Formats: sequence, C-alpha cells, structure tokens
Amino acid sequence: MKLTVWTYEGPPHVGAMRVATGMKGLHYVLHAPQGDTYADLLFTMIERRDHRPPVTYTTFQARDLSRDTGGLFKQACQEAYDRFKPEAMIVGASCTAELIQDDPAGLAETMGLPIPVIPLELPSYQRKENFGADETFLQIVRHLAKPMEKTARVSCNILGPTALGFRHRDDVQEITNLLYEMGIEVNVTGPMGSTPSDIAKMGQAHFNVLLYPETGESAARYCEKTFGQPYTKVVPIGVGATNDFIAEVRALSGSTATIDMQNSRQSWWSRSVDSTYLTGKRVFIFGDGTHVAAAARFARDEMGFEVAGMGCYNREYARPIRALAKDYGLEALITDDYLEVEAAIEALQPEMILGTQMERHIGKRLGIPCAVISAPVHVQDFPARYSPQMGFEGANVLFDTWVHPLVMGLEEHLLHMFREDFEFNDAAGPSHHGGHAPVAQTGRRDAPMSLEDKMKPEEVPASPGGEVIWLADAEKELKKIPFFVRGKARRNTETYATEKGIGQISVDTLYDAKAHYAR
Amino acid sequence: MTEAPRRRARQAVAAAATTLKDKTVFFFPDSQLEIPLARFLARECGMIPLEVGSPYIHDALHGPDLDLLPEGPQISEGQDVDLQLDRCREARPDLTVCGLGLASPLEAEGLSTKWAIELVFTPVHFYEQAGDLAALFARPLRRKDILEAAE
Repeated sequence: MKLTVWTYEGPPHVGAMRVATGMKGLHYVLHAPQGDTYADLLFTMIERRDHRPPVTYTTFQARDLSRDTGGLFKQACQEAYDRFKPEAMIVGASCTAELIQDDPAGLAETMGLPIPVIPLELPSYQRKENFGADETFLQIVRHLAKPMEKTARVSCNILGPTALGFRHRDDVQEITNLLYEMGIEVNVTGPMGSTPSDIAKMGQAHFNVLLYPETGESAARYCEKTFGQPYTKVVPIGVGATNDFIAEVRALSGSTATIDMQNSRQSWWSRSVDSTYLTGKRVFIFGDGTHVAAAARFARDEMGFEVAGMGCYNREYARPIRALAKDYGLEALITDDYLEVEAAIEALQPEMILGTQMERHIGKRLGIPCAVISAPVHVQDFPARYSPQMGFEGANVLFDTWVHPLVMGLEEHLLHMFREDFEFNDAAGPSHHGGHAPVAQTGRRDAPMSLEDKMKPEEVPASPGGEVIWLADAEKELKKIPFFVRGKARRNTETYATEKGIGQISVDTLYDAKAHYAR
Repeated sequence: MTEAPRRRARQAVAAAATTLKDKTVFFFPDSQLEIPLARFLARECGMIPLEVGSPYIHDALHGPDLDLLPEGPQISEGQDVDLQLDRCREARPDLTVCGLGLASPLEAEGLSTKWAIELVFTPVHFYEQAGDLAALFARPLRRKDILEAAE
C-alpha cells in the first residue's frame, strides 16, 4: 500500500455521491464511519452547492464495532426514508465500512421499504471515483429504466454529467441548446439534473448523447443493448470535434437543420496575427482520458501548439491514451501519482501545462503556466459565469483560458528587449497577472526555494563526477533569455553538452545548443 | 509582565465584541475547540450560546472550560446531524459555527455561519491573537450586514 497526500480520484463511494448529489429525489445511505462525512464538503464548499448532499452516513464509531453495526445500518435506512421520503434509495459501504462486511444490500432488502432500493457493490480497494460514478449510474438505470415507446418527435438523452464534474453544468446547457437548434429534444439528462422518475422514462429517447464516457459509458452501453438506443462517440470539445459531433448526431437523428456559426470565434482568433506566437508552444497535457484526448486534438490542430507530453490518471483509459500518444509521437504517462507527473513535467520543461488542479500546483512550483482542462477541480473551477468546454462557445472559452496564462505575443519581444529594465524586466512576469505572475525562473539555481529544497544540503555547483558546469559568462548570458523559455534553454544546453562530451558550458556552448535545437 | 498584552487583547476584543454582543451562537461538533470557544465568546464577547456540540468531550480537559460557561446552552457530544439541524433551524441563531459540509447550505437558509476549520488553521491562542479570534466570528455578521444593506 502506498500513502499519498493528494489523489486524482477519491474512492468509488465518492463517485456514487457525485451521482446522488447531482440527482433530486434520490437518497444514498452509506455505511461509513464518522470521519467519512467530510466528503460532504467537496460539494458544499468546492462546488458551492447550497444543499447538503443527499447522503445519510451510519457514522459508526470504534465502540459500535463490538455491537450490531448491521442494526445501525438498518436504523439509518429507516430514518433516512422517514425524513427525506426519496423516490428511490441507493445503499452501499464506504472503503472503511467495506471491511466490516455488513452487506448493506442484503440488510436493506429485508426491510421492505416501499421504494426501489438499489444496492451498490463498489470494490473500494480496486477501483476509484470515476468507476464508482459510472457503476452507480448504471445500477440506477438498470433498476429504474423500463422499455417504452419512443417519443413521436426525435429525442435523445444526455448521459454522464455529475455533481463536481469539470464544467458539466455549462456543457449540458451548451449541448442542449445545440441539440435544440438541430431540432432534437432532450428527453432526460442524467445523472445530474434528473429524478428517479425521469430515469424511468429514459427508454423513450431515440438515441443517447454521451458527454462524459468516464461516468456514463456503462449506462450508454446498457441502453444501447436494452432499449436499442445508439450513442454518440465524439466528445464535442473544440470546433473540429463539435463539427464531428454534429455530423454524428445528424446521422443518428436525420436532422438537416443548419447551425448558426455566428458566435463561433475560436477559429478566427487562432488565425488572427496576434496568435502567431502560439505556434509550436510546447504543452504538456494531463487529466482524465476523455479531456486529455480532446485537449490534445484542440491544442495541436486548432491552437497550433506542439504536444510535448500527455497522459491520464484513470487507468481505464490507459489503452486509448497510449494509442493516441503514439499518433503524436509520444509515450503516454499513465499514473495516479502526482509526483511522477511532476517529474515528467520538470524533465520536459513545457511552456504550458494543460492539466488538473494537481498540475496547477505543480506549475506553480515549477514556474510553468497552467490552464485547467479536467477534474479534479478546485473551487475556482466553478466560475460564476457561463463557461462551457463543449460546443462552439466551449471552443471560445478554451481559446481564452489557454491563452491567458501565457505571456502575450508582442509582450514576449518587449520583455526580451527591455530585460535590463527595472520595471519591465522579465522577472516581473506577464503584465496581465499583476502580483500573481508565475514565478519567473525555472532553472535550478535561480528558482525560488521551496521549504523542502531549503532543507536539502546545498548542491555543489561544480561536480567533478561528469556533471556539466556553467561558466559564469554563460550563466549570465542564460539570464538574457526570457524566463518562459529559460528552463528549456538550460535543459537543452545541458543535454547538448552531455551528448557532445563538453564538461563546461561557455557562451559558445549555449549558442551552439540554441542552433542545434533551432526549430 | 502580562499587563500590556492583556490591555491590548481587551482593546482588540472590544472592537469585535460590539458586533457580537447579545448575539446568539450555535455550535456543531467539528474542531473540538467548541467548548473553550463558547466560553470565550460568552465571557469576553457577550454572546449567548444556545447549543455547544463537540465531537468528544473529555471531562479532564474540558471540565474547567465547561465550568465557566453560562447557564443555559445545551451541551451535546457526538452528533445526529439531522436532529441537530432541526434544533438549529428551530433556534435560528445569529451565528452558527459548523464544518464546511454544512456552512454553505445553512447560509442558503439565511443563517450566518463561521466554518470551524478556519479556527484550526488560524493562530488563535494567547493575548495577541484574541482580537483576531473575536474578529473571525464578527466577520460573517459584518458581511451579512454589508450585503443586506446593499440589497
């Protein structure tokens, strides 16, 4: 077992909570010790939800373990039913409670509650949060949805959005509007936004739109098999993917309606002259598999970036992301250990990171700008404004969000030209970031020190054991290189020197390396 | 020796106490600091505790603080959160001290809250911090006044 401070995903019961919290009229009775109740604040604090998640915890304590924890569970079920009068209940155990093997499913079944009670079997020690959400939604659909006559007008369900999802709220709105424009009604959107009685009507739809495969694919497959509803495979993030999505939906629905492209600005924004400086910016992409795949396509084909590295934390997507990375000439990083991700970023020295909250922290430490593209998320990833990732407005949002952390086009030149200036020097960072600019230097010796770095014994600069040494002149010349490429320049020069067997880096070595790596 | 710091502490607490005086306060169990905090808010800031809930009450540790609490508040240990929420809604306290899981939902119901975890992260001990401690509780009330006045 490995202990870690931060994880990309919680245990599977947190996924079940994301489903329950997104829905109305559903209650989750969770066999869990007192400390597990803290999961509530993921929703009330990070997502700023104004209601408690519909979860009743049995909150057993150490002293209960010598007594009847099963009885405690049944009592909690009964009280939850009496108090909240839900349309349906899901029951299960948290990771800690799984160990005492009380069988919440069996216990709830014996109670004869007058509503559907859906048992969840979530293997806490093998799987994680996304699996928990996907499996929970599948079980809810399996238990509640019945075959039905299709609606007279062509309609679809939207599958996958949950509480605590990255921009799910706005994506759903954007795609609902797009479907409406195409003349397609949305029958049920779920899990987020639905009630158990809505779920019961899912069979009426002609097809399904799967927005978030991580949390909705099992349900989509089940509906395809059981109700004959095909589902969409393209996740409409970026203009290209949105067009592909529209083509897919046209094929499924027969819609021929034209789409108003007036507000789709991203393509022109990318072509306008100020964007020239984006060309070939090296980006590192990390997150959940779906968002990473979408971001890679958008980064390379629609922003003109160079994808320098990519990977995902959910190993369910290891295979497709490995295959995708190969197409980009890369090897994918599949890990849920943020320290491995940090090491990969440090080694690659990208000019920008597209990642999760974890990578945002890594970026802060390394002085590399970062835009968030995927869960796990932070309170600031739930903006008050409308800010989808999907559809044409989503592409506009992506352009703005990804460009903002960077130094602006002309500013790169100005910073270089005035690098000796007291006010407008490169250590001041991008002008639009005020006092919160990313830390200026990324090089080892001139980077500001973190606490743990300070606790390490000081590195001896001139190591005779084969490490390359920077001569003072070269070190000074390196400082003339703008900070946002300095880390890369240092790394490239050192690699070049090592390859050439040069032990000391002079100004000439620096420029030889620059010429060597010129693109 | 403690005279100057005591004077400064009293002066600083007094500034926040004008906001807190005669206001009612309700504690959900969270930080285990509930009993000493209730003692401070009652004795030095003039607040009226309605319920003081703590996850675990250790008599030897909490006894002296408990003795200094005014008559009246219900002391509760552990929790049945739904029952306690019923009592809180019934009491409509001016300020509710609770965990982050409850704070936003209670604010949405119109109750002012102070999230308990901030008390664990903020230096709140000794004379020089007493004013900051009182100010932490006054801030949600002042904020509510500001936002309501602007409505």
